[in-house]
Amino acid sequence: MSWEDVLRTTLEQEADREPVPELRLPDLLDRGRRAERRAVLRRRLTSLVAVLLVVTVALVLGATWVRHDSPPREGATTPDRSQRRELAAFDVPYCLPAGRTAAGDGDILHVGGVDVPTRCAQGDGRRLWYHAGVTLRLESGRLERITRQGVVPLGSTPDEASVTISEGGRYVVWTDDSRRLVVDDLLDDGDPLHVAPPVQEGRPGGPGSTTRVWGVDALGRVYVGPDASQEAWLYSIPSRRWIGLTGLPAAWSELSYLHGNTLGFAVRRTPGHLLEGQVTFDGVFVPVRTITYSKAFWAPDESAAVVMTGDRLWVEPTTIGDRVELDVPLEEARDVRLDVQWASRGAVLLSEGGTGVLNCSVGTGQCHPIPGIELPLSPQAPLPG
Amino acid sequence: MRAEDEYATFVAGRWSSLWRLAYLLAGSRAEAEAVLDQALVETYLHWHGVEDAESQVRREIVGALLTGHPRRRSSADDAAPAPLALVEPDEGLLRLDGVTLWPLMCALPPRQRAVLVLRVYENLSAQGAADALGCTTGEVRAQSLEAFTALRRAVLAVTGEPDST
Repeated sequence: MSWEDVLRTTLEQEADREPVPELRLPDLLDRGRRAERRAVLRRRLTSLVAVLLVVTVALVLGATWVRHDSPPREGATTPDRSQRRELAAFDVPYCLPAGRTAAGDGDILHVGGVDVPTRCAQGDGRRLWYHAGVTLRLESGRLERITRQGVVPLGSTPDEASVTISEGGRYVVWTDDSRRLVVDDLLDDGDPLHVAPPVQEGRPGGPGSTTRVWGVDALGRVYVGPDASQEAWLYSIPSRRWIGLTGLPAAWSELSYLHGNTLGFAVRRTPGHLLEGQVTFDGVFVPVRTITYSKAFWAPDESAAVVMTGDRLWVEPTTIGDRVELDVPLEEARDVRLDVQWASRGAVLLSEGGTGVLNCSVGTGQCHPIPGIELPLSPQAPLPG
Repeated sequence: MRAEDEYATFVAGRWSSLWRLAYLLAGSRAEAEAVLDQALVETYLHWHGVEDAESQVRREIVGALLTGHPRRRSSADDAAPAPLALVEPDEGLLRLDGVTLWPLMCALPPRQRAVLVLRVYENLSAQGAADALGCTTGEVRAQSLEAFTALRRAVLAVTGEPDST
């Protein structure tokens, strides 16, 4: 008997143990009718208030709508959004990045009113993102949004790691060929906003500097930071301002966007942990607590995940089966940088900071090195060893 | 058949199973009665557009539990719980029984408990559970993983077996 069977038996016995109360159908129908009457009344009142409001506003404004013109946008060179095309049945979405997977190989996605089987082809310039109802696709540097009406071109990017959908799905952010930040408000039909990197005192930003997008919150605050640097910034889309983050911990090695205005910093003196804190509107990082760093790398079929907690690595099945610790040589100061690639349902490849690749058995946890390869392998590449 | 008659037939036919589902999701009689009552009234309001009534009620129950609802307190809250029945465990699952698992299930966060009940008790697919919870299948799988992990750790802690973590 498996854990799942025991749990099922427990739930069935618990459900059977409680006597089912008597159904008082007339009372229920009576409450339904009363609720229906209240709903009708509420709808009528809402309509009446809305009409009154519109009439009042029209009178105050002289029945004239004043359209607010946006300030000119810098260098908006975007494809024509009227160029929509239907997604052909064979032109299917691909696997999603780990942790945000909404469809695996062979899953069905509804696109353009058609059921489309997905196809995993991540790793050769194709990526698919899905978050908060927004589906994006990147192919050969072209970023597109997939909607029920078809495919809408958004722009181009040389850096797939920069593509980010905001919490709530209102904004899409990426970097363009000139390393500028590109911000697209999906509620606005206008062109995306191209924003030059922040100019720091004594060191202007420019095409040479790298802008890495950590995350975008629902209020349109984009958290960015150049790679290999101790700087971090936020760009406020509503106010169109760069704000340098202050109060950051000393000697942090990695920044993680967690949620809302909450960030987590990996600090070298506490490996395996993140200093979690919140960013105020004026860009001050306020530490809240230290949390254990945990990161999951999902198998393409989502049957299991490699979970990194502290300095240990586990394979966690998505059913109630037992977890298996991977026998990876431990390092005292393990960094949070780790490449993980699932080779099959039973094997996972690990690479830590360019120290070679390990092939680990999901069943036993045993690992052995594979010389001469680097991650990520392309999906078609044969696995040496 | 009039719409109200169809609704009444549905409720009368499915009352027991809907109540049991509400009880497992809520973890208490009083809360189960409150959420089921609310869910059935909401279903009555939208009966004309309902294609799958059972799925609709399931969604309403889960939604009411996860987003808050007017709670009613009844005398059942004060009643002493009836003794739990023991499961006949296999050798390898010696102390995994209803006495251990049900209180731990109730201690899970509502969303995680809902995922387990929908997947294990209702035997729903990830897509079915996602429909009931109003989220993606990926979130269902993630919540399922977290719930099973939490449950396993809790069982190990309760039964006194060392956790390898």
